Amino acid sequence: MIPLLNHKLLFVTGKGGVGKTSLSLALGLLAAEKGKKTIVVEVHSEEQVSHLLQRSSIGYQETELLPHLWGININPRSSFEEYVLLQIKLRGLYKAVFENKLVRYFIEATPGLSDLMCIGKIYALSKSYDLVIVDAPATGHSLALLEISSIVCNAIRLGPLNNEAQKIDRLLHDAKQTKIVPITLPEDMPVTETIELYDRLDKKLKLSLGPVFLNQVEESPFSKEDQEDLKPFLKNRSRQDLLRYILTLHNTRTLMAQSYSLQLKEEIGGPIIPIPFIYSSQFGLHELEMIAEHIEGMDSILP
Amino acid sequence: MKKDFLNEKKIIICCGSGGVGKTTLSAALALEAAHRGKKTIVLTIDPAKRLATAMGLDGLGYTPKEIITSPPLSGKLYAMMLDTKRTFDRLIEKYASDPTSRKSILNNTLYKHMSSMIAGSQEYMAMEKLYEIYLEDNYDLIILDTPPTRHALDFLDAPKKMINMTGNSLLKWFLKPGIFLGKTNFRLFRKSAERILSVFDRLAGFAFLHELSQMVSLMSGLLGGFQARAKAVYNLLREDVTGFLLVTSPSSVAIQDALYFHEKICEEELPFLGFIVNRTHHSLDKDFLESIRQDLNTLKPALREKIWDQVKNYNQLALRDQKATSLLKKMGGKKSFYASIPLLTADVHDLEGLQQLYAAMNS
Repeated sequence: MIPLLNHKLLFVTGKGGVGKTSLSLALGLLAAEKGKKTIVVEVHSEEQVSHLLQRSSIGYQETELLPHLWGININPRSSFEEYVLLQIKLRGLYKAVFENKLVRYFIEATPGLSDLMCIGKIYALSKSYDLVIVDAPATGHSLALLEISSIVCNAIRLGPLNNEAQKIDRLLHDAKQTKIVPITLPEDMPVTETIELYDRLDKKLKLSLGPVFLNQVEESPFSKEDQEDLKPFLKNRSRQDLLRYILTLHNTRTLMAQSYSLQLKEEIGGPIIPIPFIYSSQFGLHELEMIAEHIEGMDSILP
Repeated sequence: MKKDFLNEKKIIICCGSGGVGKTTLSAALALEAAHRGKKTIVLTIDPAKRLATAMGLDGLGYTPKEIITSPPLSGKLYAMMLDTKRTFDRLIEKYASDPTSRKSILNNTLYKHMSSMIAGSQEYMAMEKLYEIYLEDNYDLIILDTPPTRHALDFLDAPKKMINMTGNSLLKWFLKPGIFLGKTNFRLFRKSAERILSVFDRLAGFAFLHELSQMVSLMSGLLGGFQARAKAVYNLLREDVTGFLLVTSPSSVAIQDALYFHEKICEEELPFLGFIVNRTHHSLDKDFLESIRQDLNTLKPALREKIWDQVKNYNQLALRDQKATSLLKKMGGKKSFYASIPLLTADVHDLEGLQQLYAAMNS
């Protein structure tokens, strides 16, 4: 099995709010630390990478965030401009044609064109970096992004777009180079969605999946003996309700993490990598490093 | 002013980033309104399986289903799932001039991809369905759970985008360049049109353009209908009967999104109701922490430390929540509503859970 960070392209995907950006950056930190020239790609987003690292916004510019670690926030319009200019090589003509308001609506409205432009840019980045980590949009949009090259290959039989789409499709379907990396939370909806996503990617799109990351996993510090001791303590009515609530909360979440982890293992079969809950009143580079350090100790991540 | 927007509004749109509990909260608000005697419907995108089952939406819940409870509600509660592809199809069926063109559109390869992939179409279709239900059915209150989009713009811009796309007739223009121009401009125009077409041709190949122009000619008949409708949706969103609720969690990412949404809502002059912060942690004051410390003295030191760690961990999150929520309170100003819902100890997946969720909401 090829270690995760030895791939060319990783697609970190999952439901909104499960920690895609954090995982992308944590993986990026690890790869960069091992000397790989790595780029974390946000796709048409409200730029969370710059927010997490507390720096000025990145935009459509390959920007060095830390040694060996780069970032970019791609959007369809800039990718389109770049692509067309590569093809026609005349900025004047591009301006005349594509900065026309009507044409811009056309670009936005043409089915799949913006997805194709984004995935095209990701493909181009894979040529100049050792590792490209895509902080992919929420599940639905991710699927559109991963599907579009096949759709274009089928819909358009000739011409440069077809050539491009074929190259992209080949990279996406090369299990040695590309892995889809799902991330989820130990909760009902995110887990259900991950299982559905897994089936779809695995069976329908025939893409190769990496390990599933289970984020915000709580672990109970209490041994069996502790729990016996706790019982009478909590039963005592003079105890504060809030304390009881806090302990119950942690306890239920520990149990939930265990049961969802089992469910994922049963339905997916592949490795499940837990990421511990980070108790912190803020979330930044330090917390990302904690996650990276934890992941580093897991099997099949590092060479 | 606790929660009286449920009595005042006819349409409540819940927005926010993914994973903050929008779907569950929408259902909880709808249930409460039905308790108060209202005929309520919740339009939802993708409820969790067990919640869907509880709301009678397992299987194909794309038509309104009444939720029967015992004891019965004083009002009525309906739930419905949104299927964007079908809504689009129905729109075509409604506005296509004749059965043949209807069929050709629905079978066109590009249309098939387009209806599910066009930028903002999912967002637009949610609005479209909302409008249809508002017009055609007689509900006291409609609660819309919006698609989990990270791009606030897509969602708020959706009706506008549709108006522009259809109204500006770029599509018509590709078909019959010249119909919008006087003769003087025509030569100049044709030159640039040819340039554009040749660029697209080089990029995409002939087959693609052919498909496109076929779809365009088929759809051009519909443009008028679409446009009028998109305008009506645009207006409805700005009427007094409508209110936008921003749902968020206290995590910094979700708060960022919420602030961004709020800015957009203000910019677009949409009627903003307020923020609901879901899954908060109670703030623990010094006295409480001190009393716990003393209380724990009766336990073995090792166990005491473990419990104390958990309390400290919880407190870290409470501190994070405080920072986040004070920011929201400042942004929302005095006019808007503000509520928080403490993290529940169990997943919400039935009507009882929904009721508990609503009861836990404090403002």
